[in-house]
Amino acid sequence: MLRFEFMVAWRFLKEARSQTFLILAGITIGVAVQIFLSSLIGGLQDNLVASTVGNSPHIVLESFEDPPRSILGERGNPQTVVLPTVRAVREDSLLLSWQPLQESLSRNTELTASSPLAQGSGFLARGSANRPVVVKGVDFPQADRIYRVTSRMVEGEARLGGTGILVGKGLASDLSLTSGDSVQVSTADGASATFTVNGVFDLETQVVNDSWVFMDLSRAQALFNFTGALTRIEMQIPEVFQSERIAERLKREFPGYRVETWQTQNQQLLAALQSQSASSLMIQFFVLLAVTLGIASVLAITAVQKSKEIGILKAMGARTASASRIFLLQGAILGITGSIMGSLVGTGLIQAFTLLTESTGGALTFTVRVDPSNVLALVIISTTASTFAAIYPARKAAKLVPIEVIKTG
Amino acid sequence: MAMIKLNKVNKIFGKEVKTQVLFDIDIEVPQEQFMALIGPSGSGKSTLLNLLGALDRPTSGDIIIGRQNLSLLSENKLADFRNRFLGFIFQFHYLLPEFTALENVLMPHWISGGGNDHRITREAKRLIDRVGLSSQMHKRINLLSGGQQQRIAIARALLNRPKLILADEPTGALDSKSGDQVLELLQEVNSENHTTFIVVTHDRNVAMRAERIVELRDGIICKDLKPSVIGTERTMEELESHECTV
Ligand SMILES: Nc1ncnc2c1ncn2[C@@H]1O[C@H](COP(=O)(O)OP(=O)(O)O)[C@@H](O)[C@H]1O
Ligand SMILES: [Mg+2]
Repeated sequence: MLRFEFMVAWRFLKEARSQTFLILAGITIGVAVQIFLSSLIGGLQDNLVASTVGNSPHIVLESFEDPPRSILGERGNPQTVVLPTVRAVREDSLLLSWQPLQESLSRNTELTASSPLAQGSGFLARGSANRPVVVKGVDFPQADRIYRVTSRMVEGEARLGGTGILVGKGLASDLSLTSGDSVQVSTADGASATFTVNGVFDLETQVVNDSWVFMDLSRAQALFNFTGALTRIEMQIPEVFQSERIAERLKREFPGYRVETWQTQNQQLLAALQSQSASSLMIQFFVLLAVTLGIASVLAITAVQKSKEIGILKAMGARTASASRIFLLQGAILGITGSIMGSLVGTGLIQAFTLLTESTGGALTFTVRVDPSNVLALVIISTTASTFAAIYPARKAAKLVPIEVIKTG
Repeated sequence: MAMIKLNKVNKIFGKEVKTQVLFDIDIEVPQEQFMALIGPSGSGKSTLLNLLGALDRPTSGDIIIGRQNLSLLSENKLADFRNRFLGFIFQFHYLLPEFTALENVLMPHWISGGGNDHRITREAKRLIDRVGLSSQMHKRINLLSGGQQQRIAIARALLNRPKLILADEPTGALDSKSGDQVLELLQEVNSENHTTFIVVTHDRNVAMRAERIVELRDGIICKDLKPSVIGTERTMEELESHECTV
C-alpha cells in the first residue's frame, strides 16, 4: 500500500548520502547516550536499593499500637534508650494470636519469606564484660531467607535451637567470643538465661554486627516474657518496588493490623532516587529534543531540495497525502534505523565500560544491566519523534503545487 | 466523438493585480487528433495546456475531457485522472534524478499503486526500446543526453496507455535532429495507439506536420487550420498573415 512512497523515501535517503549519514549519526549518538545513561543510573539505583533493603524485611505486619521497634534500634544509639518505659509500651503492642496469620502468610505466593519475630533489648555478658544487644527471636529457616545469615557466617555453624545463639562479628570481637562459648543474656526486667554461641555472622552493617543476637523464637519469647506473642512478622518479596501494592492487599486481607513497607523507613533514599530519576529523565528529554530538532532542520532542507521532484510526482498523479507520506516515511526510516544502531552502540558502550572498569582493577560494585524494555521504549520514542520531525517537510510537500515547479523549470 | 471540449474558459491570475490570460476559449478536439498549438511567447499556450492537464483550474468555464467535467473533480480525483488518463511531456524532461531511466518510466505505474510485476516491466522495456534507448535503460538519467532524456520522458508518458498526451514544447530544448526524431516518434505513437495529442510548439516546421494547427494570440484563438485540407501553401500564407480568422 505504501510501496510507492516507501520506494521514493528510501531512494531520496540513499541518494542524499551525507545528509542521511548526519541524521543517522545524530540519532545513533542520542539513543546510545540515553541507553548508556539510563542503564548506568538504573544499575546504580538497583544497587542502592538492594544494599539498603536487599537483606532486610520489605514488609512488616504488626499490631496496631506503636510497636516497640528499635528500642535499641538497628540505627539507633543505644545510649539514648530509656529502659523503664519499654515494658509498658511493649505489652499492648504485641501480636498475640499470630499463628493463623503466619499460616496464611506462608501460603501467600507473592511472598518469598514470612518470618515471625520476637524482639527485645537486653545485655549480653561474658564474665564481667557486657554489651547492650538486640535479641532477635526467630524461626531460623524463615529468618534466614530474609537476612541470609547462613551464607554470611564468619565462624561456627548457622544453627539455632535449644540455647544456641548467633552473634555479630563486632560483638564477637569485642567480647572475644567464639563458637562454644557460654554467655549470659539478661533483659531490662532482670530476667536472664545462659546461652551458647553457635557461630558468628557478618551482615555487613556495623550496627547489626555490633548488637544483633539471633535466638530461637520460643527462647526469646520466654526470656522477654511475651507469653507466646510476637513483636511482628517480617516479609520479603521478589520485586522490592511491588511492596506498596502487596502491602495494600495484605491490609485488606488483615484489616486489624498495621502493615508497613520498607519505603516508610527509607523516605530519604526514595526521595534521592526520585530526584535522580527525574534529572536522568530530564537529560534524556533534552537529548531527544536536540536530536529531533536536528532531524527536523535537515529534513526541512530536503523538502526544499526535493520540491521539484515532488512537483513532478504530483503532476504524474501522486496525491497530496502520498507526497506527505514520502517525508513522514523518511523520518520513520531514519528514526528506526538510527535508534536500533543507537541501541547497539549504547549496549556496546555499557559492555565496554564494564570491561574497562574490570580491567583497571576497579571492578564495579554494582552491575549495569541494559533493560530490554527500556531499549524498546527508546526505539519507539525515537522513531515517533523523528517521524514528528518530518511533519514540517511533509506539510511543505503537501502544499506544493505542481505547476509552480513546472513553470520555473 | 470529442476528446476535449472547452466551453468559455477564462483564466485570470492574481488577486489584487488581475491578469487575464485566457478569454472565453471554446474549442473541441476530436479523438486521435494530432493538434499543434502555436502562438507568440506569452500568448497563453502553457496556461491552456496546464488547464487541459488538470494541473490548474480555470477561473470560469468548463473543461470536459473524455466524459469528465474537470471542475467537478476533487483534488485527489484530479490526481488520479492525471495518472490514468493523461501523459505529460514538458520542455524540460522532469525526470527524477534519483532513479534510473527504467525506474522513471515505471513511475506512473508505481504512483497508481502498482508493484513490480513482469507484465508492466516488460511493457516499460518495450517502450524504452521503442524510443531507441534499450542500452541506456539502467543508467541514471543525468548520464543521458538531453534528447535521450526527452525520449525517456516520452516513454514514461506512454506507460499507463493514456488517452491524451499533452506536450509543451517537447523539442524546444533539443537540437533540430533530435527534435525531428522526437516529433516523428510522437506521430508514430499517435497513429499506432490512436492517442490524442496536443503539442505546443514555436517551430513552424513542427506545426506543419500536424493534422491541425491552432494559433493562440493574447489569450484568444486566432487561427484554426488543417494543412491536409487546405494544402501546405495556403497554410503557410495563413500563418504569415496577422489577421485572425476565427
Ligand atoms: N501564475 C501566474 N501569475 C501571473 N501571471 C501569469 C502566471 N502564469 C502565467 N502568467 C502570465 O500569463 C501569460 C501567458 O503565459 P504562458 O501561458 O506561459 O504563455 P506561453 O506559454 O504562450 O508563452 C504571460 O503573460 C504570463 O506572464
Ligand atoms: Mg509556455
